[in-house]
Amino acid sequence: MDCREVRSLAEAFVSDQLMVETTQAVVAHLEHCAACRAEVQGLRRLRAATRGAVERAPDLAPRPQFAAELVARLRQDSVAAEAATPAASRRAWLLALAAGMLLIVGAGVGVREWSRAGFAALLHAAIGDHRFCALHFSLAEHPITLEEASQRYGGVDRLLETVEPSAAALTGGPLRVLERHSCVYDGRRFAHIVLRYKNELVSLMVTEDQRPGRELFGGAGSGPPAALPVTDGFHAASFRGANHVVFVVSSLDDADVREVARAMFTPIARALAGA
Amino acid sequence: MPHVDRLFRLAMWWERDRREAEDLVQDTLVQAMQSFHRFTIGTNCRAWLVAILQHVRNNRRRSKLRRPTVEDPDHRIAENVPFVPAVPQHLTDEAVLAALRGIPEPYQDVILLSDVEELTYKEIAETLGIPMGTVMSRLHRGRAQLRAQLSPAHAAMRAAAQAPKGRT
Repeated sequence: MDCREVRSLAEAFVSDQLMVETTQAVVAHLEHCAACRAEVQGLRRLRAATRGAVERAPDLAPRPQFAAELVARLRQDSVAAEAATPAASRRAWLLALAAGMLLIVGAGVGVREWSRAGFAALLHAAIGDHRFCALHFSLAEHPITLEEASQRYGGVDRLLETVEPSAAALTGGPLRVLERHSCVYDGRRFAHIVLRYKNELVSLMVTEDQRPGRELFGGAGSGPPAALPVTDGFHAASFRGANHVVFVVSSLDDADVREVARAMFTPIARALAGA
Repeated sequence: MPHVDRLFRLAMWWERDRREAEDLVQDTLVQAMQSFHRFTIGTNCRAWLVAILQHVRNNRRRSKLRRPTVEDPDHRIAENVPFVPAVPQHLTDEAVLAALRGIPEPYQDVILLSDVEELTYKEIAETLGIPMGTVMSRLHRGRAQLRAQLSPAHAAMRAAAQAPKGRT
């Protein structure tokens, strides 16, 4: 790849819009070309400066009470108009707003801001926990109750004790909670709710994870494509809040896992928002 | 409340009026709540919200009978920047915001959506209802103009133009 080509791709490169192979070719060129490196650094500087200037501009800042007033107003509207629209989905959406949570994403999609390694490691641990705890009861360390976990480690686990699936449309029959506890896999502690759906075990795992400010996105074409490995026939969906990430893992297929995730989203959001 | 804050900043950039911006964000969220069942789980929630914001904004413009920007800046020959200056090492917020205000609105929009909202080119194209090729060329031209505005030479010219005229 020559300088002319790299210059023409520089903006897309800096915005992460190139395919993996093209990105690699650009990186290879930048390694030995100081001039193109300077140009790319300048573009990054400009992009960061634009973003920072808009995010910091006091003239563009909302009133401190605006968000709270807005959510309150929307909540009132929602209650008033409950008969007319699918109320459950509206409430779920409001809770998402209130908890600063993002909507459900599926595994096998792109991740922004988190390093892929970070997210993949969490996913791997969640899948391992499902496999060795829910399926085989063969963890190295015995699980403890959610209450005990909250007392010992000061987390939100006890709030998950009463979480029940919402009455969301589940096409495959009932979703039942079988068991709840706190367990450890690969050095990571999860609040673990074991459910049964369509005659298979499904694990819902909540773990603490604080990443500064930024959000998790997913979906084809919404970021650098990154197929997260689906391990040994397990499918996973995940969503996150300010301080936690939630995984739903099962050997059910992708669509079923997402259904379960959707049914659990509102109650989990409500529980964690109360934290 | 990350979603609301970000949407407000974008709305405020466009409306330049606090009351209008708040209304715009409220209308956007109401619309989003009503269309939530149409949101495809697994896609970019933020891009979806920004698209609704843009949609609501356009509807309001039309209803206010304000003359929309008819000129297509891509065809204005005089604006084409033959030489792209290096990006200065030190960029102040004031300089960047002033420079951004100084370029045509369609260029501002794509730069905001790419650099601030961090949407993909495809998402920007869908949000604004323009082809992806147009997104890329507007980004390229917009940033070139931005760099021209931020260059020391341009700053010097601007300062000279604003200097009080000497008495005769």
